[in-house]
Amino acid sequence: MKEGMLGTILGIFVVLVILVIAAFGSGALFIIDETKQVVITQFGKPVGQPIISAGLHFRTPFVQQAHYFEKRILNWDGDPNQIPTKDKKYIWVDTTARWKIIDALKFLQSVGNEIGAQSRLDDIINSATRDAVTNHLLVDAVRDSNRILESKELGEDAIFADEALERIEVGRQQLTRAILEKTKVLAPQYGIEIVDVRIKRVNYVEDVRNKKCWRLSMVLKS
Amino acid sequence: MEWKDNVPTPDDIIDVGKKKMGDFLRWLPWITLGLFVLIGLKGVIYSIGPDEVGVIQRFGKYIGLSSPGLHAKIPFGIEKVTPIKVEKIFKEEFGVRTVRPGVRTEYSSAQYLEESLMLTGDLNILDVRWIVQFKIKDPVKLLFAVRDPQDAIRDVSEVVMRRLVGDYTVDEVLTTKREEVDHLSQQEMQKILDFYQTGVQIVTVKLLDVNPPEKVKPAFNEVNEAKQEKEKMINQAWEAYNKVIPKAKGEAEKTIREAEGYALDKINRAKGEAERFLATLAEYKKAPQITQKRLYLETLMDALPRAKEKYIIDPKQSSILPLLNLGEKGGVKQ
Repeated sequence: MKEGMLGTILGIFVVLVILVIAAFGSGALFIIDETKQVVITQFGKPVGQPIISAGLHFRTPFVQQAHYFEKRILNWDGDPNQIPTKDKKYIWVDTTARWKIIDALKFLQSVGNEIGAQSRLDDIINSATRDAVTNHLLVDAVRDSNRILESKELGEDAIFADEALERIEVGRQQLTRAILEKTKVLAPQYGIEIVDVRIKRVNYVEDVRNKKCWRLSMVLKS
Repeated sequence: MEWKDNVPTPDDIIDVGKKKMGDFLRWLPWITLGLFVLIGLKGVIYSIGPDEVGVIQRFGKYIGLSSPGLHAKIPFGIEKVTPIKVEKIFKEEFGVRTVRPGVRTEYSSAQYLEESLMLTGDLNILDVRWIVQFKIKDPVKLLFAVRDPQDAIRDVSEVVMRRLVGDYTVDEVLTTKREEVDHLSQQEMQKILDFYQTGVQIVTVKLLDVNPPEKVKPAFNEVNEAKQEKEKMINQAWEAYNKVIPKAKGEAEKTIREAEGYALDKINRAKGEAERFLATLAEYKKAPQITQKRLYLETLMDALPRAKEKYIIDPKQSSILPLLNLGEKGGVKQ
């Protein structure tokens, strides 16, 4: 008698486990992690709004498909660009950006996946950076204030390149902000929000750098 | 055959086997249950280290944190716990890599110029190396807000460092403003990382080696030597100046004082003289004859004792020659 009851309980338990496993296996039940969001499609046609809340969710198995997307802030790292400034100096500009998927459905429709998104971001951020840098002097991309010029006027001795004596009008932070504003407007059509764009590295291109070193040596020696 | 009775027939053996098998079948459910419990327990019990915090997710959804110690969770992937080291201080290096930390830490001899070369405000190139130390202040944000927090930290640090160095001159970054750069970059990094909600706290930012690029170094050293030489010369000049100038100044002062004294004396004398003359004039006006005579006599009184030789001649005498053999040696002497 006792053994029979145990058998029944065990039986129910096993059946339940099998059911749950089957539910997960067929995809009827699925888990969305805190870091993910999901778009449900039925034969390729989107069903309802993207699911952004994490937890256990249900869909019709075999018919509906779940597409997972990141919910967190993602990286974008630009390829360094060789860009001439307004005063015809060639520099390498390396930008970095943070972005996230705010409209998973639009994201799925317009760019498909993260790799697609990265390449669209390449396009819009690189061109915005190029526009911003070519419209300004080299010092604008480097400095943020005229502080050192003012201190030079106060008579502190410093080694100055001629082009460094230009006063800045915009400055690096403003320049960055301009790039961000411009890209921010373009991103929503991909379901993307650009959180931040920053100029990471600004450097002379190789031969200018060598010349620069040489020139600096000369200035230092004179 | 005695021993035959004790030997079991094959049937007996099968019977015993059947009986044992029956026992086993009876115990099978219990064994299965036990196995499940064991597997379950393995997934149920977990421990969180003293420097950690566990982030619990049920079906992927964040439900809470667990403190250090032994805890239980629902197994079979229903609950997931990610331990996060919240006390540990992590380090990111820029332009250098530690190969083997120790009493004498070894650094990689390779150069990471793409990380460390940057432009200064005076458009010169500097090789700047630095480290960032950080810890995790919010494990939930760390896990769920940004995908690659480490990349974010590295990017932000480079952004901030370059922006700051871009606002200083070579000399300032090399010498006087190092601490200022440390401090400002820590603040600014924190601001940006908070904006990204990385859940990371910057403990410190420290500049390590800051050098001019290799190619410029010799020239740079020469300039520094020259600068020191200049300082030395200036100091020497001041020393010489200090030796001579105060003394000369003192002398000048003294001369001026003397001259002033002399002038005062002269003026006073002249004033006295004038007063005396005026008094005499008043006397003269009262009685011109007497005063004239007195003045004549006074003048003579003053003049006669100073004359070396005196000749008194009668005014009536027409010629003086007969009387006096003037110029003759051994002539009239007083």
